[in-house]
Amino acid sequence: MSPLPVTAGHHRIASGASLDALAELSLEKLMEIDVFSVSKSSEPWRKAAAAIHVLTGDDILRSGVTSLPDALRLIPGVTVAQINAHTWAVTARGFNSTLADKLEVLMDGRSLYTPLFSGVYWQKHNVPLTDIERIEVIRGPGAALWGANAVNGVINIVTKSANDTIGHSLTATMANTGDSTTSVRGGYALENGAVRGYVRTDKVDDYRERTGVVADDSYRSSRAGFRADFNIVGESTLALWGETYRDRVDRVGGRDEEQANDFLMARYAVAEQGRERYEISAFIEKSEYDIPGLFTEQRETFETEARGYFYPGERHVLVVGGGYQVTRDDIDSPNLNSLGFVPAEATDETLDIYIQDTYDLIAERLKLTAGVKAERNDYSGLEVQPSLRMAWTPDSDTTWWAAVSRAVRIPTRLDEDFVIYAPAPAPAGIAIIRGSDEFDAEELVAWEFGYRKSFSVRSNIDIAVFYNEYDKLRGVDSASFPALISNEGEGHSSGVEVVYNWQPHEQLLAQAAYSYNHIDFEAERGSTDTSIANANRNDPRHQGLLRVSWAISPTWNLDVRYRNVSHLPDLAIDGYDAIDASLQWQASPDLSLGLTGRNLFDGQHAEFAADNRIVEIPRSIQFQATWNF
Amino acid sequence: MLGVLVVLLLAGQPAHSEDMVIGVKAAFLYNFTKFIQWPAVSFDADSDSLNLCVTADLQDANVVRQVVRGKSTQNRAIDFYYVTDRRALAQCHLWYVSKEAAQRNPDWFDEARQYPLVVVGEGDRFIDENGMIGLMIVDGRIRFAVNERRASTSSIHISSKLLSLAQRVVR
Repeated sequence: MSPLPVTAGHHRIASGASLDALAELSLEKLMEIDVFSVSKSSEPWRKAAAAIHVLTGDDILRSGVTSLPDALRLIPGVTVAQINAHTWAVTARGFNSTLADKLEVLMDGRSLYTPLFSGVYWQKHNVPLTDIERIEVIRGPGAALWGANAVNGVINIVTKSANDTIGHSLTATMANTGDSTTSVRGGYALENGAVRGYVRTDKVDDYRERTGVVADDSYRSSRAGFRADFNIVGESTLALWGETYRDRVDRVGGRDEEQANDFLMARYAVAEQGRERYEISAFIEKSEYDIPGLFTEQRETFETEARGYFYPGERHVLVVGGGYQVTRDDIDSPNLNSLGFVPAEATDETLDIYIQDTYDLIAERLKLTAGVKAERNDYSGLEVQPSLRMAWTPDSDTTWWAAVSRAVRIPTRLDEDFVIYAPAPAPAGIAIIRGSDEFDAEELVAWEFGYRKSFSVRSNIDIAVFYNEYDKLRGVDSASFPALISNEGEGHSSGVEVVYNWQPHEQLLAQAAYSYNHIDFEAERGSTDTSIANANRNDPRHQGLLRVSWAISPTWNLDVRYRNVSHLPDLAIDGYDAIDASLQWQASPDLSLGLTGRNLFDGQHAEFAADNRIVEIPRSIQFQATWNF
Repeated sequence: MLGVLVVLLLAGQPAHSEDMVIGVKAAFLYNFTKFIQWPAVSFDADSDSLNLCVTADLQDANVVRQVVRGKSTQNRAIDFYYVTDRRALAQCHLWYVSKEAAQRNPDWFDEARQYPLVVVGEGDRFIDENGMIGLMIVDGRIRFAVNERRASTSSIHISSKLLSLAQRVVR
């Protein structure tokens, strides 16, 4: 048995822990060990043929962050920009904007992006962070398995099984800026499983614009939800989720915006000997987004998926699956001097099938993964997205990998049905830009290459290099009137991502990461578009992250992050440095307290610009308490 | 879908994975011994060892041996036995039988019933058929079910603490 760092809940056993150490753990601690995640070496993803990074729930708790996008900042290579008190722009490998649409974002397998434009309203998804098991991120295409949005990456948020959240817990945070969160969870063991219920409320006060003017962007939200996990018989499990969410966002010069979201989801999974065999899942979601006087969207979505795992011979793992989604919306846009969607109502269906084979060409040394997804949608018809990946593991400490994939971003209502009207005093209803039925999927062919090496149990490095070729990028054809949203652009991006982890001793973890991203997009020859060239410089070319986590004593932990993000020329956003730090104290077995500072050495800075406004992110000091009872 | 991202990318099992599963199970076996009261007839003297027996494939048995090696419980040293003959069960206090071994040797359970022997096996249904404690994996975590009725028939007392952690208890 090789030395393994075994993480059981919050308890890190020394690196080099052997089987002997297992017997020293209490039953409660043993019940927390994920035998599969630790069994494939403690960090199995280090042998994967993709640029993957996994952030554990413990990582999140140690950092003191309170929102999901803030937690994503801890993941090297993810670009996170906070726009104002409630809106975030998140992407990987370029294309950042409030409408960023090239990531697949999942929570427990449920797509979080809105079918309206394939982007994520991040504030809608701040579940209690203490219930998050881990966040897995793939930079680069994952379309062969994860669908038509996984162009530049996949973010998969996994919440804890209800079996692991038995007991009651209350977490409250309060910051000097007036921001606060409260979450309460009740977890109960049932005859064949467990259930937890939770409530979370968030309050963020107004930020300020660069000019010093109050940004009028305060935000209130509340959610209540549950997750139940049942062991049906043997290794088959049934999981149920549900949540209801409401928020209210202050809006400059108008009545508050409001969003509502309710969903129910179920998944039945069967495993044998700890290996997945098949699973089926379904969810139904109903949402409403109201910007008074401008836009009211009502949406209902139903999705179902089935997936099977087959293990022919000793060396193949075959995953076969298919899914169906139908989404129906009704968008009312009363202001004919602003924007709208025509037609106002739409029902869109998507059907997909996929297959992936992982073949151990040479056992434990050379692994080949080939996959393809065929997806039929109501906008661009049939889309085929293949990928080929290879990982070579010459020894257990070294992995070389390479991949080539094709991925597409399928069109949405925003591409085909969107209309911008001439502003007053023009007569109402004169379209100046509108979507077009001719809009095709945006296309990507990605070439990737990576290297991982563990120098010892104490240090390792992870390097990924990519070259992306894009075609049919969205732009505006202004040769006609009204101008048409159409496929006008092409270009490429390339970059390098490096992560170095160092654990000089058991109590100290250090991580250094750097990402370089060069983007070169332009309108196709003959195009009249002027917008695409401006998308070249909305993403930082350089991003650096340094993180040190120090377990000062069994009850005290200090976590310090420094990040450097280079400037965004097209948005006139300067580069910035930010230092965040969090001190956590386990005051008693049932009470933990924390003090977290954001932007410690910087009064405020802007990270992005939207709607011709630049709002600055303030420094804050936050107190947090978690009580288990 | 849980963990599917990692699972799919890594599909195919590295060599040590099974060791970890049986290793954690072995730690459960060791922990069980702390919460079980055997009848007085089970031990001749206060200094007698507690005999932990395993019927499984040799590799798994060796992992269990490693985990419990040198350990003691309730002021008794633990002795490990790899059992291949059902008559040897007479000497055992706790017997772990793998799923395969249980299927191959159904008649061993008749033998086991003659002694105050804690029978631990695999799966939720194990306690409905022959066993007293069934181990199972739920969501990557080891869980267990207890048949308290069968235990007390054999004059074995299982503490309420252990019962409270069980996924399911037959009383």
